[in-house]
Amino acid sequence: MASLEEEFTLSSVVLSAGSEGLLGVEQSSKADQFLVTDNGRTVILYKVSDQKPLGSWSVKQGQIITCPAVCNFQTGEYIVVHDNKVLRIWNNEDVNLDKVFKATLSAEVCRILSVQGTEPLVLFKEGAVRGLEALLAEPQQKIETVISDEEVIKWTKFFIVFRHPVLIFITEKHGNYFAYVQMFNSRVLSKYTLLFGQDENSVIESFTASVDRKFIALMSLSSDGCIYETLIPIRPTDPEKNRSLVRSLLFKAVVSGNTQHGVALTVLDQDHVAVLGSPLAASKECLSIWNIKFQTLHTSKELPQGTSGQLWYYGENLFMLHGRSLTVIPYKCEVSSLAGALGKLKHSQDPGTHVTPHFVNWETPQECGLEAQNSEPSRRILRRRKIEVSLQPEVPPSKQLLSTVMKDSEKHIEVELRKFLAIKQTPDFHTVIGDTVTGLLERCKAEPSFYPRNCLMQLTQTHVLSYSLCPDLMEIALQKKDVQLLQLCLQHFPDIPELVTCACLKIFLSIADDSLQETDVNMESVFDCSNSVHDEKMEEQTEILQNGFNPEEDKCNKCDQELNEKPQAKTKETTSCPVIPKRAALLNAILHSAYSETFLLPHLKDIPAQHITLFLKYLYFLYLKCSENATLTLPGIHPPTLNQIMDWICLLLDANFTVVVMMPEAKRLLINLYRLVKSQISVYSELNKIEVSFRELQKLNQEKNNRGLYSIEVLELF
Amino acid sequence: MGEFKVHRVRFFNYVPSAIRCVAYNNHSNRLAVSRTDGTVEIYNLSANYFQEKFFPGHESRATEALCWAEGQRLFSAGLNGEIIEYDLQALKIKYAMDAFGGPIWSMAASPSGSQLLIGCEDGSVKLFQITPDKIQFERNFDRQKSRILSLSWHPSGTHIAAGSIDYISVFDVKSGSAVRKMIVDRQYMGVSKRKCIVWGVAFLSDGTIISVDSAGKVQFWDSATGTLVKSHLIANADVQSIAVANQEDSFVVGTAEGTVFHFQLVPVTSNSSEKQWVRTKPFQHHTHDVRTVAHSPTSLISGGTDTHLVIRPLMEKLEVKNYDAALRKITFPHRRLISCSRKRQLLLFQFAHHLELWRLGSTVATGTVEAMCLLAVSPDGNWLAASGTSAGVHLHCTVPAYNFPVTAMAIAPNTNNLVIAHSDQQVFEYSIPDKHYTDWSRTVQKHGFHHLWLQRDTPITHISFHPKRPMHILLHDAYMFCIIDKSLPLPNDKTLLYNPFPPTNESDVVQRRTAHAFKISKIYKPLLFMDLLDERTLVAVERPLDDIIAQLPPPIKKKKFGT
Repeated sequence: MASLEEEFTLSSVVLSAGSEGLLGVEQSSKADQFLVTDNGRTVILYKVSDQKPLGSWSVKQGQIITCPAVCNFQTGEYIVVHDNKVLRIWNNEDVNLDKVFKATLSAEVCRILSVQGTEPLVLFKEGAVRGLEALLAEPQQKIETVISDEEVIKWTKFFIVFRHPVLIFITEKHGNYFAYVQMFNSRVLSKYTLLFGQDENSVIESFTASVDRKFIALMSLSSDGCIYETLIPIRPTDPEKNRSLVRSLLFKAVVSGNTQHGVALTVLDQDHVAVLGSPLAASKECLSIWNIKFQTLHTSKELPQGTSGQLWYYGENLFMLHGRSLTVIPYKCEVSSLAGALGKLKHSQDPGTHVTPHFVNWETPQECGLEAQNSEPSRRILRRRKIEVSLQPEVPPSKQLLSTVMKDSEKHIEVELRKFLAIKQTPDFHTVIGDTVTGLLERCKAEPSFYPRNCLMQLTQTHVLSYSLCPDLMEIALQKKDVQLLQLCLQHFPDIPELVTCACLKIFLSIADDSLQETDVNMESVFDCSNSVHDEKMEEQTEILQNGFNPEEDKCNKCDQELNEKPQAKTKETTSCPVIPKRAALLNAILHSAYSETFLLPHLKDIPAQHITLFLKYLYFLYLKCSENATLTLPGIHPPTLNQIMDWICLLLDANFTVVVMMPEAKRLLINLYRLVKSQISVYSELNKIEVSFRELQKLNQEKNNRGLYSIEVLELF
Repeated sequence: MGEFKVHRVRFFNYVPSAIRCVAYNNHSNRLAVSRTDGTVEIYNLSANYFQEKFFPGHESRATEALCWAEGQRLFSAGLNGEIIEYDLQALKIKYAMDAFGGPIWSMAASPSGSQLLIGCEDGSVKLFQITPDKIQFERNFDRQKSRILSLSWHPSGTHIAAGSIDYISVFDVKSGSAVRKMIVDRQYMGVSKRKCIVWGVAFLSDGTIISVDSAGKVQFWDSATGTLVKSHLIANADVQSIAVANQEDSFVVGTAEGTVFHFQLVPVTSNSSEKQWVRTKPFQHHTHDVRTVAHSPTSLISGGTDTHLVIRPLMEKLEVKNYDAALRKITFPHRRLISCSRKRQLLLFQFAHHLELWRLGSTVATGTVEAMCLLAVSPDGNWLAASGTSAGVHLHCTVPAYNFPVTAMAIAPNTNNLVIAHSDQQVFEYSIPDKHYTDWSRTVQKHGFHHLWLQRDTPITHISFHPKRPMHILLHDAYMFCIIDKSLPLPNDKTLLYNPFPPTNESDVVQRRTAHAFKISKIYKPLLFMDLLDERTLVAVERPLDDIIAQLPPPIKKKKFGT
C-alpha cells in the first residue's frame, strides 16, 4: 500500500520564492542531496536526511537565474544559467558564483537536463538541443530554430531508454499542444500533435511521463480535473511525417480545475501517481496518491498553507512548496496483495493436499537427473529437491519390500527387510530405504498399534538416514519412549535439531530405572564404574583435582570449611556414579550429539530442576573421572571428551542457574563446581608465573641441539 | 655420491636490520622495502618474490618513509631531514635534498603522482612538485603544534589528512589551510595516557578517514563533519601501520604485538547494499612490532622489528590456487654475503658496514679463530659474465634472454660452461665457447624439473663446481644444498626427490634404478653459503634464526596460558 510519511520542512530560511514558486528541485550526484533553485538569484544544496543546507550560491544583484541548477553526474559539477544566456559551472568548493567558469551562449536556454549515466543536455528556447561538452567547446556556435514562432516550450523530460538518451518536450501554440521526441542515438526528432478528443475546452495544467520498452506514457492533468494518457512511440516508424496522437481518459475528476495556483501531477511508479491540488469538495489544497490501475485513492494529505502548484519526485521523496517553505514528504509503496490484505496469505497450503515425500538417489543420476533438469530451476534447492522430485525406481526386490510395508504384518516386513539388506548396495539402495522408512512411519501414524521397532532400528543403522529425511521417526520414538531407538538416532543422525535433542534428554533423565533395565541400550560408551568406589583411588583423585594447587593455603571461606569438616561425605558423593550404567550410556549419546548453544539454551530451561541436578552430578562425576588420569580422557571405546563434559556443565548452569542455586540438594554440587573453577584459575595464574622458567627450559633444550659456533662433521650424500 | 668433511660454520654474526617501511608499486608489481640501517631493497613480486635490487644503507640515513611516485620513481625521507631519490637503473642515490623542516616522519605521493608531501618534526607539512629530474619545493601548509607522523591524500587530490600527536588535521590542498581538526581520545582502557600518537592515517574517497594510534585503536572519522564514526580497540599496544587496498574494500593494520589485522567492507546482511567495516582476519606472523604494512591487490605485506618480510596472499583474491598462494616469509637477502678462498681456506663475511675474514681450522677442537678485518677480492676465470637486474646475462655475447631475474651464476673451470639459476628455480647451462645451451640443459628443459624443486621458495644464491668431477654442479638455497650429477637420469614427478635416509638393505640394482641426478641435503639450515674447500671438504655457513632473535629487542610480553 502506498503511504505518505510525516512531512518535514527543509529550510528554515524563507526562500525568495514569491508566488511563482521555485524554479526547480534537481538531484545531485549524491543520493541524499538535492539542488533547489529559487525564482531569484540563489541555488541551495540540501541534504534531505539531515534537513539542512550544505551550500548556497547566489548570482550578483541584478542578475537572475533563468533555469534551475542541475548536477552533471559525470563530473559532480553544478550547472546553472542566468540571464537566459550565461552558463555557469561550479563545484562544492567554490564560494562565489561570480568567479566560477562562465560561458556566454548565443541563444536563450530553456532548460538544462541531466540524468545519471550521460552528459547533460542544453535545451534552447527555440527547441534546439546540444550536448554540454559540444556546446562548451564552442559556446558561440549558431543555434538553429526548431519550433515555430509562437510556440512555447511548456514541459520537458529527459530519459534513458536502453542506454540511449531520449528527450521529450511539449510546446503550446494558441491552445494546441505538440510533443517533440528527440532520440540521441539516431539524432531523429519526431513531432506529434496532441489531440484533445471530445472535450475541446479544457486547458492542460500539468504533465508527467513514464517510459517502458516501446512507449513514453505521457499523462496530463486537464483543467476539468481528469487525467489523460497519451502513448508516444519511442521509435517512430516514419520520422518525417507529422502525426497526431489521441489521448485517452485514465480517470476522472480528481481535482477541481479552479485552484489558485494550478495543479500538479507526477508519476510515482507504474501504478501510482501523486496529484497536488484541491479535491472537488474541499477548498484546501491536498496532496493525494492515486492508484491508476484500480482508480482508487490511497492516501492524501492536506496542505493548509497552500502550495505553488509544483511537485517534484526523486528517490522516495516528494518535494513541494508548502506556504513559503520547502517541504519534503517521504513516500513509500510496499508490495501488497489482496490475499495479504484479507489476512489469508499465511496459510497458503491446503491441509488436504498432503505431499508425499519421495527420495532421490544421489548415486544414480541417469534419467532422474534429466527429469530434474526439465523441471523448474527453483527446484535446484537441495532440500526441496529431495522432497519434490518424484522418482519411483521399479526394481523387483525393493518394490516387493515397499508393497510389504504398506500391508503386511510386522514379522513379514522384518523378513523382507532382512532380505533386502542382505542384497545390500543396489544402485537404488538409498531411495528404497528412504521410501521404506516413510512408508513405515506413515503406517505407524495411521495405526497406533503398529510399531515395527526392529525394522526401524535396522534401517537407522544403515547410515543412510538423517533427521531431515524422516523427522517423524524420532517423533514416534519419543512418543513411545523408545530410548534404544533414540540412542541409535542420536548416534547416527548428523542433523538433529536442538529441540529434539532436548526432548530426548528429558526422556533419558525421567525414565524410571526399572523400565530402563529392561531395555537393551548400547553400552560401549560407558566404562565399568564398579572399580571407582575404592578409597585409595579417591585420595589420589582429590589431589589431581587440585592440579598442584592447595585449597587450604587459599583464604578459606565458609563453604570450604564446611566441606573440610566432612570430607568423608564428600568422598562418597563424588565417587559413586549417580546414575545407572544404562542411563549413563543414554546421556553419553546426548553428550556426543552436535548442537548450537543459542538454540539449545532455551530448551534446557524446560527440564525439571531435579533432573538438571542429576545430570549435573553425572557430568561432575565424569569430570572427576577424567581428571584421574594424565591424558584427561575417560576409559571406554567411545567415551565423552572433557570438552563435551565441560561445555554441557556450562550450558546447564547457564540455562538453569537461578533454579539450581535455590535447591538445597544442589548446593554441595555447586560448591564443588565453584572450587573446580577456582582451582583452574589459580593453575593458570601459576602457569603464567612460571612461563619464564618454561622458556628457559626450552632454551636449554635448544642449546642441546646447538652444535656451537664451529664444528667439523661428516656428510654423506647418496 | 660419497662422503664429505663439512666445516659447519655458525659464527657469521649476521643480523638483518629491522624493516621500517614497505611501499608497493601497483604498475610494476614491485615492492620497495627500507630497513632501519637505511638499506632499500626492491622485490619483484612477479618473479617469485625475488629481491632484485639493493641500495646499501648508511648510519646517517635512517629512513622513516618510502614511497613511489610518477609510476616508477622511488623516494625516501628520513630523520636526517633529507628527501632522497633513488636511481633504479644505476642503483645509486640520484640526489638528496634537505627539506629544512627537521627530521622527516612521513611522506606521501599525491594520487596523480606529481606531488610529494612530507611531514616534519617542526609540525610543518611541505608540498614538493616532482619535476622530471628533481623535486621542487612548492609551499608549506599551515604549521601544526607537533610533529606530523602520518599523511594520506584524498584520492581526488584535493584534501589531505595528517596524523600528529593527539589529533588529526585535514588540510585543503588548494589553500593549504587546515579545515578540520579531530582530537583523538587519549584514554586507554579507562586510563588516561600521556599522549596518543596517530601512527597512521588513510583517507578514503568517500571522505572517511581511518586512523591508527598508540592507544591500540582503529578509528573511523567523517572528514566532512569531523566526527568519530566508529572505533575498534584491537590491541593492548600501539597500532603502528595501516594500508588500504586500491578498491577501498579492505585494509590492513599492524600492531606492536606482532599481529596484523585485516578489515573488510562487507554487507551488513547478505544482499543488502549497506556495508560496514568488519575486522575479519587476524594474522600472527611476527613476534615483534609490525612497523609497516602494504596491501597489494592479492596479498597483505607486513614487516617490522623481527626483520621478516611477510607476504600473506588473500585466498579469495587469487584465481589459481597454486604454490604461489602460500605464505612467504623472507628473512635472508637473496644474494651471497660470503666468499671463500679455497687455497687458503679463508672465509670472507660481508656485513652492512664492514667485512670479516676468518681462517678455517683443521681439527674439530679448534675454537681459536682470529678475526681480521680486511678487504680482499680475487676474481678468477678467463671469462667474465655479468648479469644486470633486467634478467639478461652478458658475456662477450649475450645469453638468450629469459623473463626471470638471475639469482646466481658461475662458470665451470674446464669446460667454460656458464650455469645460471633464475628466480623461478630454473637452472640453465650455457656453453660459452659454443655459444649455445648445452645438451644437458636442453634435456633438462625438455624433461622439466621436479615439482618439488620448482616449489622451493628461496632462490639459489651460490653455484660452484667440483675440481675433479666435471659432471657435478654444487648449488644451494637457504634450506637445501644440492649436488647435480649430470651423468645420472633426471627425476620425474613420481620419483622421490629428497630422501633423508641412507639406502639400507636394498640391493644395488634397486639403488641404481632409483638414483637420480639431484643429490639433496637439508641438514644445514638456514644455509647462507656452501662451497667446496677441496675435493672432500665442504664449508657450510649457517645462521640459525634463534641466534638472530636473541639479538633482537624483547617483544611485548603476552600471556600464554588461560584467558
